[in-house]
Amino acid sequence: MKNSISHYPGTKAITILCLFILYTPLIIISLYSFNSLRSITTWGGFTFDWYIKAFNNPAIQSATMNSLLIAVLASSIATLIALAAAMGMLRGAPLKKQKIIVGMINLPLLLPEIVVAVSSLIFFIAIDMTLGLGTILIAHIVFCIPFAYLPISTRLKDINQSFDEAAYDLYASRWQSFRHITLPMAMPGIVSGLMLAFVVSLDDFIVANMVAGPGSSTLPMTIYSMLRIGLTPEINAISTILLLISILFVTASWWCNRSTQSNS
Amino acid sequence: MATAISLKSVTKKFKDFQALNEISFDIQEGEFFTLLGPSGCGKTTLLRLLGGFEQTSTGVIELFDEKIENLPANKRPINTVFQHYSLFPHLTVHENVQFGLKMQGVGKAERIERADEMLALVQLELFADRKPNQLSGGQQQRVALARALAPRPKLLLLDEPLSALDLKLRQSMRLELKKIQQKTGITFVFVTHDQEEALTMSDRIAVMSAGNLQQLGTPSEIYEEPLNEFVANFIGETNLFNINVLDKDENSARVTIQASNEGGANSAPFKVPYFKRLLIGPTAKLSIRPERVLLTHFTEDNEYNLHAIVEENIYMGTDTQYIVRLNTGKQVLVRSQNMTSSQNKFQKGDKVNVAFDVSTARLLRV
Repeated sequence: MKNSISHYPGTKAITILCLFILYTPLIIISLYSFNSLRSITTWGGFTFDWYIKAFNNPAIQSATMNSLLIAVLASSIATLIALAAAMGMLRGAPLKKQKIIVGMINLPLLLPEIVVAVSSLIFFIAIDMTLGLGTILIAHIVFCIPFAYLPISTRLKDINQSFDEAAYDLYASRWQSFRHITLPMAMPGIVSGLMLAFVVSLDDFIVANMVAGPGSSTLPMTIYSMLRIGLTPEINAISTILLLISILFVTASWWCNRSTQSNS
Repeated sequence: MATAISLKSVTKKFKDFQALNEISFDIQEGEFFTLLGPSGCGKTTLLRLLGGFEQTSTGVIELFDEKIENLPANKRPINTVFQHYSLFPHLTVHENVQFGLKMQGVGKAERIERADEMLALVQLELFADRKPNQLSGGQQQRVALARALAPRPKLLLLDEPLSALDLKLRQSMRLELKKIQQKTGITFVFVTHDQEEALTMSDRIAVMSAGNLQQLGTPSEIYEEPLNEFVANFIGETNLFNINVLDKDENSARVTIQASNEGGANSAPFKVPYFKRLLIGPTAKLSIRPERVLLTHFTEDNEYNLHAIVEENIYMGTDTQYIVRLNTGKQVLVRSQNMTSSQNKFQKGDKVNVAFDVSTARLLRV
């Protein structure tokens, strides 16, 4: 019989310590975003003022628009590329060195982000590309691909190829079989990948900061530059919103994958 | 009756493996035709060649006199009921049945009407709006059948469709499949490894092994007149005796059953009919079905000098199965119907006479 993990000594203490270090700052930031005082140590009463202030700040407004635009475009394009790659890897005739190719698709997950950021910057400068939203978008598409690829390929692996064969037997062309059978069946994986890629792009600071140009600040970059002036409850408010969006999308992504696994 | 499918010297090679070897036969229109053989005999490969999922290496396949061996699956008017059904899980039963018609470009009104018709045929009208995973195995099987029949194929292929069902359901589905086949008049090609299934449903059976066609005939021909040892063994149960052919005339041969071990004795010579070329000497086997061996109480005046000791008696309800050790040394399986009471006639260790009607025995060349 296997022991539950709580039977091992110290499990509880270590777990609580880790959770405490990880979540306490997040909880404090969220709480103090509703604090009516500027202080981050004394509580002065409940208010939405900092949220209203943040929403009315033109720098934050434009940064939010930039971030959303890049996240939507980068995640959609990365998902399309990842879907094509997954179809090629799992549905085509097996390639030579297929494992190496899959490894290369997923490589951005393992590379230190600062390396990606610096090398992207050098690359864009070398080809004489103007830094701005365009360069951020290209860099984001590239490192979002593995986040979209993993859930899509996992889902495709679970779809038995006999469905394709059945569609083919019933007079479907290859495209019709993809459109009517494979695509709807893979949809939970695709949506899950799309949402993961969206969150990853939205949250990115290092790469965006490196390849951005004037006037192309994203939300995390704006938060960082505001921090240099001093920590304000306004930043707490934006951070809380970003946190909520991320939690929402990651949860939805997980839920999408889970609900389909139980009925297949 | 027209010829639905004609196979001419069809072979299929996978790399170094010869899956099918020069297969030639015709299937008639409206026939319930079965490909029967153990796993790995090539029957599924043959079915996949008919369906267009694999390409023939050499040979010709004609569907109503048109060559189809180079047409892809989605261009052949042939549909398949797959072994695990492969119903589309994200579509309702009704949408599943409509799928082939939709891909053929049939208009929506007609599509719905024909799908309704098919669901009525398999008695699943009430389940039209369910998803496949809300159905039982037997119901999924019917949906798969309705889906494959809806485009009115010229040929329906069935790949061991009953193998996933439990015994009772399998037996009732056999009758129902046969009924549906007769109602629709569509030519069925059915693949199975279950000889009972093949015997009860088929108009004709092709017995295959190791990529070769062993015998083609009606169920009774296959059972009563097996051409070789493989067919005799595979279809039903049989006892195979090593035979010495002493001499022969036009249609019967004088033979003895040979001792199969040192202490055994040869049987007395007797005459059996033969159907194929036969050589003199120990060149043949005699196949006798267990239900055609007769056990009687031991007497000294034994016609064939065949007697035996009962080693096992197994009561099986409708009949009793005996395993007896013949005086030639061979173990023989005997099945006798329990016509009167459940009382076993012979007990373990009893000495019995063994006889059989020579007209039901079958001589096979080795």
